[in-house]
Amino acid sequence: MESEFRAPSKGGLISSQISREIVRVHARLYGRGPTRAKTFLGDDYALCILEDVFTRAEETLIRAGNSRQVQSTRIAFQEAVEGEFTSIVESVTGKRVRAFVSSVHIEANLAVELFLFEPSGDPDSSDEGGAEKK
Amino acid sequence: MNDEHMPAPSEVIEEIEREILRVHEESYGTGATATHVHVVGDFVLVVLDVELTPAEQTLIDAGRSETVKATRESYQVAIAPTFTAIVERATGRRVASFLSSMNLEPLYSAELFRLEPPS
Repeated sequence: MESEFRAPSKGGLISSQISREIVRVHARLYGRGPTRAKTFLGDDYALCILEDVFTRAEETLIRAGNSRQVQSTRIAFQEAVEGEFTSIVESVTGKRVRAFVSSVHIEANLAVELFLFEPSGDPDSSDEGGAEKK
Repeated sequence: MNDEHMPAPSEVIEEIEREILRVHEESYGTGATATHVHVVGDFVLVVLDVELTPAEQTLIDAGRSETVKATRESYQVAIAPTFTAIVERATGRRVASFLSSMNLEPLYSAELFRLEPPS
């Protein structure tokens, strides 16, 4: 009888670890972590989608129609933590990050963190689907 | 002695102190280590020894104090109607204008309410 158990793929484990570490650092440096995180891993990128990210102060500003200030603060925060986020992804994947792009979507209450890797030249690297951490 | 310059009763001060702190905690996510309320004549001054959020501390550590100050002042504008309502309810007088500012070193915010003349 064939077992239904399937071990997580290497890409899935890496994606889960990135999600977990990003959430942990986000919680430590921002005061609250997102309630959900999902990371998609490709040959030359890692994309983290963080949901339910806003603090109470940010929610107050958004309700008052001042989303621009929230965006501005988030940009400053991401610039401040870029090194730490990049180190996590480089450490977990073993790849060098050449660019980090971060943004928040106010209405959807989510943040995306995109890490682009330098070419590795590894012919065995594969474009596996994302794993999810909830 | 002119009554207009008498300090407000302690119940008025206690109500403003309690409500401003409650609203601040609920709407900003952090409280204050101390709250000072002065009601004299047509003015109400509220000084909050606020606490930084972890995000604010991260930004200050990264040299982005101006972002923290801008966010705090935007918040104070957003919450102005609620703070004004608290002062109006406690004093029984209309607020004619509201000024708010934040100082980072040392850390506190100051909210000044100018009351309309008693009706």
